[in-house]
Amino acid sequence: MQNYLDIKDLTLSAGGREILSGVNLRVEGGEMTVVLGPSGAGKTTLLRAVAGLVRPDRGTIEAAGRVWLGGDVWVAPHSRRVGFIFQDLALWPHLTAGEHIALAFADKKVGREKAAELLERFGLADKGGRYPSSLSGGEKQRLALARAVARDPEVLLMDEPFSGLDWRLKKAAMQYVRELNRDKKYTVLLVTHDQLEARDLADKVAVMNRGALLAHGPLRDLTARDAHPFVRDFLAPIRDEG
Amino acid sequence: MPRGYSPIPRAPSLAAVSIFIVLCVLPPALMFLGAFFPESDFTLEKYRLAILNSRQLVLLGNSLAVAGGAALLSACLGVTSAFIIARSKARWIKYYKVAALVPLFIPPYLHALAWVHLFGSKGPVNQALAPLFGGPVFSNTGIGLAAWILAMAYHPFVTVSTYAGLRSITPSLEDAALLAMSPARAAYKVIIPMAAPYALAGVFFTLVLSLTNYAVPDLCLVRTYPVEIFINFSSHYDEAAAAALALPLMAISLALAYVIYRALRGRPFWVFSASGGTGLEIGPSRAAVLFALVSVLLASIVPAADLIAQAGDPANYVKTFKAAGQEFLHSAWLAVTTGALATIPAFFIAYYVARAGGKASRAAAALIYLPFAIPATIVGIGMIHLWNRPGTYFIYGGVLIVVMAHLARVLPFVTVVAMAAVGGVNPALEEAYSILRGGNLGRMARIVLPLCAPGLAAAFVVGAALSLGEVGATLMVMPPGMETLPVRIYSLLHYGASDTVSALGLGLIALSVSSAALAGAIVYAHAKLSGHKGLDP
Repeated sequence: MQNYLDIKDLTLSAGGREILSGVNLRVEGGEMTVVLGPSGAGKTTLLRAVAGLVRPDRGTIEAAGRVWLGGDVWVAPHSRRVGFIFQDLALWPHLTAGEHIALAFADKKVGREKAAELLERFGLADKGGRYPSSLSGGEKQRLALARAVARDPEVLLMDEPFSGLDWRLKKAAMQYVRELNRDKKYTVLLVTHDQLEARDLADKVAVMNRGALLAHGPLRDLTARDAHPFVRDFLAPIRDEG
Repeated sequence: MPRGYSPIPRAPSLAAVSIFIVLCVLPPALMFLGAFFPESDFTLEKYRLAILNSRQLVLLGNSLAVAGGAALLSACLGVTSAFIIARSKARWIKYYKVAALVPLFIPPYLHALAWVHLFGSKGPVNQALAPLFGGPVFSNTGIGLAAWILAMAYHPFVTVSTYAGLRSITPSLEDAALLAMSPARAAYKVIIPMAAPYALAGVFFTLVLSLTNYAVPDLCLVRTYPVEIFINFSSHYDEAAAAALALPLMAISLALAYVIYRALRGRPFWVFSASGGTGLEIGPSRAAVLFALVSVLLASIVPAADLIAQAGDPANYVKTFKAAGQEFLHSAWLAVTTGALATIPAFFIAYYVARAGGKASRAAAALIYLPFAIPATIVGIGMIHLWNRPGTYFIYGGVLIVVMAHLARVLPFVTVVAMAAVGGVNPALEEAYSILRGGNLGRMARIVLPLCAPGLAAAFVVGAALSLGEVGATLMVMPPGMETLPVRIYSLLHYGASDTVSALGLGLIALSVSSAALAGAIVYAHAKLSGHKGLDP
């Protein structure tokens, strides 16, 4: 079964304001979709709704043939098999790098083995006993990635994962994400406000504004003359680059 | 539509809020509501007679003068102290940071015991000054002395809250101000206004605590509301009159509690770790050193030294401690039990306030500040009113009522500290666990509690220390055959046994400080082991 993600009519209001307005989005299995939009567009809320961290008022979410949300069905976050990378990474200050990964497994032996394997894969083999406070920016980023994929998720959700990194680290981290997507065929939904990140990473781009999804498709289609004016305008920096 | 994700453990949160209401709100509330039922002794007529007389104006004036003076002095001391701690990079600051908190571990009546002795007509201060002025210069009674003593005891609350405010300021905001104006103007225009709500919260806190304090005005022979309430109840056993007398006091305290609540807008007035506020620094300053030395001297060393001097030779300690073995034991287990039992519901209430959001969360936050307005004596009378009945004698007749009274007194304070602890935990850290493993129990055990541990240890210490110093409510509910150390000290105070009282007082301070030191050591070890920042300040 392909690990597709299908979102239909997702609507969420808070404080008398519609944060998500009937969002429809389908991400094919193994595809990387980058959600672009200005601050307050509802990008992070969309990601949190997919992860199950917020409750939408209406709509359905289906992944790999399983309904996560819809009708009487609501699947708890840990049962959705998603990996999540938070904007501030949300690394636990009191746990070592190894413990960050081992915590995902009820069986301690399995947890230790999996931690060793993933730390090796993410270039952190000698950092297993270190706390986040003693890791560099790039190492923290990779630890967050390793934790997110620890349980072999069906969908990987990333909330502005490169926002705090300098140019060199950002490039390396983006390379990691690209390789992960290519090798493991993760279905990725990545949120950013940076058009250049979208250009470098996305198979498809989704543009949001004021809670609504305005366009979704390959980047070249969205920069075409007949695209939505806001979308064309928002993507101008990469369109003008050619 | 299904319920969705919520981090709140519903059953423990509901139980914690219920415990808080039953212990802290219900006893005085039922007592006051009794006025509206004709069969009760608490008739509206009693309220009218007790409140509407000229004596009320004197009580009101005295209460406000004592509390206002204490708050004003606390503001001067606490804000200066916090500014020095937060903004000086001198080496001695780390010692001053600890020393500035020590007065909190000396119960106010022990501060009073020392200062009343020092300023007595035959006390050391007047004895030393008499040859120069031809007689005693200072009086050991009156509003001024009561305000001074309460400020010495309570000003660390202002220090702690102002420090939290100063540390919460984003460094870039200060840097921007310092680039545009002189340091003095930056402090006046930017830093002080940003830290002001926190400082005000500390000042109002001191004001409310001073308004409801009974022991200090009593020892300084000032008739304030709490003193009058105690006298009314212990001499006539007139619960209704005592309750009626408490009404104006509670109205003022409630208004002040509301001001605290509004000023902070849900923010904790105590932080356990913060990285902000390093723009404006105080360089090496003689004035700062002098202020630190004098404040520590007056608020900690002078009272402790006077108690040591009054206690006499070491043989007296041995004799006194032997005679008061039972009281030590009672106070120690009561403090540990109260601290531990209060920390559990405090944590769940704090967690609910921090995570639930919406009106219910705001109502719970407001509820926490409500009992600050209730004087200790009213807590005691309320407990008697609620539990002294045939069906509940198993509570009223034994130690359970004492534990409950202590919990009622300390739970609001412990909850405020727990709120600061929980407020420091980034919700994303919990969400990361929820996605990975799920389950409230695991999330609490693996993420929330370890991260809150230093703050919860501080909450426990605050609970234990307040319980160790509790007098007002204990005096009311203590069953025959049980006496706590503060109650024994307080009883002996009125018989003039100064050497015994001082020795016992020093024992009590030692007990408080050692419990704080133990908790500090645990926090330090936890921080060392876990590699993340511990308690701050």
